[in-house]
Amino acid sequence: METMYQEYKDIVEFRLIYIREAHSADGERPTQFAKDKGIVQQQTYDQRCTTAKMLFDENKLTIPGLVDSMDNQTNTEYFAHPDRVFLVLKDGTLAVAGAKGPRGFQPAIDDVEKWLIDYRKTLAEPAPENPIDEQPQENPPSPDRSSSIR
Amino acid sequence: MKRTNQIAWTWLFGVIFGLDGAITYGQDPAGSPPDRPSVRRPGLQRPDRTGFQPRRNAAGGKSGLKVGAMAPEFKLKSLDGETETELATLRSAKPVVLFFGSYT
Repeated sequence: METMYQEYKDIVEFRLIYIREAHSADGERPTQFAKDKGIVQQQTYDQRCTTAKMLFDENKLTIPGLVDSMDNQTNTEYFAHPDRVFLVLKDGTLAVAGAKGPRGFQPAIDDVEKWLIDYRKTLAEPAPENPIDEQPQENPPSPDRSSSIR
Repeated sequence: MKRTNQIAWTWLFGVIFGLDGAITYGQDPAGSPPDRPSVRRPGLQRPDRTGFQPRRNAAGGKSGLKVGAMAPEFKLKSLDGETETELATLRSAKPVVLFFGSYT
């Protein structure tokens, strides 16, 4: 994720949206990591921001971050819980909509990377003579999942 | 005779407790396996302790958004809790990659 951001941040916007904890220490399915770190479900927006900062700092993430509201509106609208990846085109449509959760995350990352590779190629091409076709291709053919981000 | 009585009592107790067990599990004494209790899929269909219960969204149903659908607009604050960012503003200039996640 961070590697992809560093490589493509000049041609695409990136945002990591911090949403409610998936496996907090006080939740139904806590992880040992959450217990060790003492990460509980936040009750206030300030607490949510604090945990989000912890996530970014400890993982040395430089990708711009946003924090979901306490009513979880964006999380709900995108049905993003526990984690998910999307690629939004300039017209507002989705070019990549990953499946939910850890199983869907890496395949979606692969899809996004494939799209970005194709998109960068279209930007590098010389502008066509016909001004109608000047818009860069935003929706390349559906990528396969054989590529790897690593 | 003593041996016969012992066998008869054992058989009688077996029938009684067998019936009792069958009644308890709601099945006939012929020994068909008890129904498994219904297993509720964890997580998304019920609220957790904090009351969070994802609902069906307007665009994509419970499984969420598909390729080609419109991305829901949002206006969210950055980590400092002050600067607000709108998706519409972001995507007006460049395509946008959105990662959703938490610490755990």
